[in-house]
Amino acid sequence: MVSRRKALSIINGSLGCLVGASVVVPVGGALLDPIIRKDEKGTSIFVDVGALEDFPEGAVRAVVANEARKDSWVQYPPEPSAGLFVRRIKGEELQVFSRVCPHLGCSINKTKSGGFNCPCHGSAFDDSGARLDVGGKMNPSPRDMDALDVEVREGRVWVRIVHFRTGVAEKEAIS
Amino acid sequence: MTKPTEEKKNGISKALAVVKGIMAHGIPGKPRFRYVFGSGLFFALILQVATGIAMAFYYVPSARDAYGSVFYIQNEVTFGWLIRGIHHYGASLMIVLAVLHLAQVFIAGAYREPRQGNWLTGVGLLGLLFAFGLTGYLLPWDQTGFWATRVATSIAGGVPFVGELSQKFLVGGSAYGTATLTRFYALHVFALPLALMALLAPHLMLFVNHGVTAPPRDIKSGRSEPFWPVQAFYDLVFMVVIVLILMTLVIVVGAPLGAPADPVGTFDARPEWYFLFLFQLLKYFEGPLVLIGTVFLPGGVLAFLIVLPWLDRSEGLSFAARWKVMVPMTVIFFGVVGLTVEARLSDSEDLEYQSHVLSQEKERQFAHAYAKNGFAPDGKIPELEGRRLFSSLGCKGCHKTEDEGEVHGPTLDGFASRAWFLGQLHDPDAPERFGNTAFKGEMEPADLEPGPMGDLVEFLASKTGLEYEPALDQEKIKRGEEVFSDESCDACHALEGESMGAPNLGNYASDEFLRALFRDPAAEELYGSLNEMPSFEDLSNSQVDALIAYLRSLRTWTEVALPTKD
Repeated sequence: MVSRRKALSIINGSLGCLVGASVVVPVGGALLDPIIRKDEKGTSIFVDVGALEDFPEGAVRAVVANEARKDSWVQYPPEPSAGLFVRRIKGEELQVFSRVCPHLGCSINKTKSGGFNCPCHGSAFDDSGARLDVGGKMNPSPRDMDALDVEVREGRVWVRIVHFRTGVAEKEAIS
Repeated sequence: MTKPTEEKKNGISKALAVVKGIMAHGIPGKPRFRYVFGSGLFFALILQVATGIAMAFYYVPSARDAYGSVFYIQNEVTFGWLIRGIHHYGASLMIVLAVLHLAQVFIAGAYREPRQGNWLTGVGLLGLLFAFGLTGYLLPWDQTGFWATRVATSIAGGVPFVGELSQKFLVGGSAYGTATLTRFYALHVFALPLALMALLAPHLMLFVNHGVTAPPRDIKSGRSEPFWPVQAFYDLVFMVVIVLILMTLVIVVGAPLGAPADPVGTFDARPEWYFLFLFQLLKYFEGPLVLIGTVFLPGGVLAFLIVLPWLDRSEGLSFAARWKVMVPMTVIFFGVVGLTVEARLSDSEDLEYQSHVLSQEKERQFAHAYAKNGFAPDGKIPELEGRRLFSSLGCKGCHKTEDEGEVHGPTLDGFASRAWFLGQLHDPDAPERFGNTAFKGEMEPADLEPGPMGDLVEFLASKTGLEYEPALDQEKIKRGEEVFSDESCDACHALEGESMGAPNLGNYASDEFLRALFRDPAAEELYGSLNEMPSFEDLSNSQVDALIAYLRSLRTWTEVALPTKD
C-alpha cells in the first residue's frame, strides 16, 4: 500500500513531466524546424538558357541561368545564379552540367584539351563530365560532374536547375 | 595517515540542498490553493521566455521583414503557430494571473511590515508586464500593432515636460518606421527582461525570507506543513490548468495577425484588452483636461499602490480596521473592470467602427490569401500593395472592383477571365463595360452562336499570356482567329502595327499591355482620342507590378468555364 505522500510525489512527477513537455515540445519543434521540415526537392522548373543555334556543335559553352530563389518568405524574381556548361554534341543532342564541383562546391573550369577541372583541389573530368583517373595525382571529386535535364523546345535550350549535395558519392538533390 | 572523509561540498550537492530546502520549506498551517498564483505567474513567465526565444530564431525586427517573418512563423515553421499562440495568449494570461496574485496578496494583507519591499517590487513587476505588452504588440508590424502603438506613443507625447522627449525616444525619431521597431524589439527582448530579472530576484528572495502570509488561524494553529508534496501538487495542477487554457485558446481561436502595416491612410485600432481601460478613460476628458486621464488618475492609482504598505499598518484582516485601503482598492478594481467593459460595449454599438472592422477584416483575409505566394524583396505582398494603390490613386472613382467603386469606366471584377471577354463581346455598352464612357456605341455586340463565341473568347484569352483553368484549347484558338477576321473584328482592332481606330488586341490584357496602359492610355494603339483615363507615368516599376498583380487577383471573381458544345 503506497503512502499518500508517495502517491502525491508520483502524481507530481507526472504533472511535472506534462508541464515540462508543454514547454519543450513546441519550442523544440520550432527550433528543430530546418531538420524536421523537408524542402521540396526536384520540383524546380525548366528555364530557358538560350537559342540552340548559339551553341556550336562539338563545343562547350559556359552560361549562367536564372533562378527564382525563395529565401524563407521572400520570393525573388529570376536572377542569374546557376553556372552551367552546355555541351552540344550534335543536332539536338546536348549535355548540360552544373559548374558546382561535387567535391566542395567550387566553380569548375574548362581545360584546353576539352575536359574540365576544378581550380580549388584539382578535381578532373573528361569532356563528358566523367571523373578522370589521373594516375599519380589526387582527384578528390567523389563522383562525376552533375548532369542536368535538358530539352530543346522550338529551337531554344531549356534546362532544369537542380542543386546537389557536395562531398558524397551519390548524386542527391538538395533543392 | 588518511584524513577523515570530508562532506562533499561541490556545486551539485549544494544545488540539491537548495532543492531539498524548497521541498521541505514549511507553510504555516497548511497548503492552500490560493497560494498558487505566484508560482503560476513564474511558470507563465518561463513559457513567455521559451516561446519568445524560439521566435527570435526567425523574427526580423525591420519594417521591411517583420511581417513576413511573423507570417512565416505562423504558417510554415514547425509548431510556429503554437509558439506564437502561446506567446500571444500567455501575455494576456500573465496580466490576469498578476491581477489575481495582487488580489490575493492584498486581501491577505501581505504587503504589510515586513513585506513592504516584496510589495513594491511586485508593483514594479506589474508595471513591467504592461511595458512588455505594449512593446510586444508592435513587433508583428501589422495594422493593429502599428496603429495602436501610434495612439499609445501619441498619448505619451501629450504628457507635460517629458512628453515630447519620451515620444521621440520611443519612436526613434519623428517618423514611425524601422527605428521604432528596433527599439521596441531591444526593449522587449533585452532591456525589459533585464529589468524584470532585477526586480524578480529580490521579489523571490524576500518571499523565501519572509515566507508566505498565512491567514491568522493558520498561524495560530502552530502547525506547519512542508511545501512538498501537497502545495507542490496544487501548484502543478494550476500549471496544467494554465497549459490547458492556453492550448484551448491557441487551437480554437489562434493568434491573430492583421494585414501588414500601412502607414498611409487610416485604421481604426484598439490596444490590447488590458489597456482598454486607459483607452476608455481618455474619452471622458477633452483639451487640457486630458491630463487627468493620462497623468493624474493613473499616477494617483500608482501612488496609492506604492504607499499602500504605509497606509495600512493594522493587524488582522477585518474590514473595520482596513477600510481605508479596501475601499479605494475596490473602487480602483471595479473602475478598471467597468471601463474595460464599457470600452467593449461602446465599440459594439458604434456602427461606424463596426463597418471599419468589416472592411479591415476583408483586407486582412485578402492579405493572408496572397501572402502564401511569398513576399516581394521589398517585403510587400504585391497583390495587397496593388489593392491599396488602387484605392489611394483614385482608380475606384471610375472602376468598380470587389463590389466597391464608381461605374464611370469598366468594372474590373473578373478582368481577363473568359467570362469577362464573353461579357465584353456580348454587350460592350453595358454600364459595367463602356456604357458610361465616350466609347458608348462605338462597338457592336458580337452576337454569335455559342461555338464561335467560345472560339473567339479563347483566341482573345490567348493574347493575355496568362494561364487558364481549364487550359487554353489550341484548336479553339485557331478557329477563333478565323472568327476574328470573318466577323471583321480586325476592321477596327489591329493585332499589331498601326492602330485601326480601336485598341490593338495583339497583346490585349497582357502584362505589357497593362504597363503601356498605365503610362499612356491615350496612345493611338490603346484608347486613342476618346480616352478618358488619366495617365500614371510617375508610378515606379514595382508599383505597376503591384497593380498588375491586383488586377490578376480579380480574375478569379467570375472565372467561368464556357460551354464546349458547338
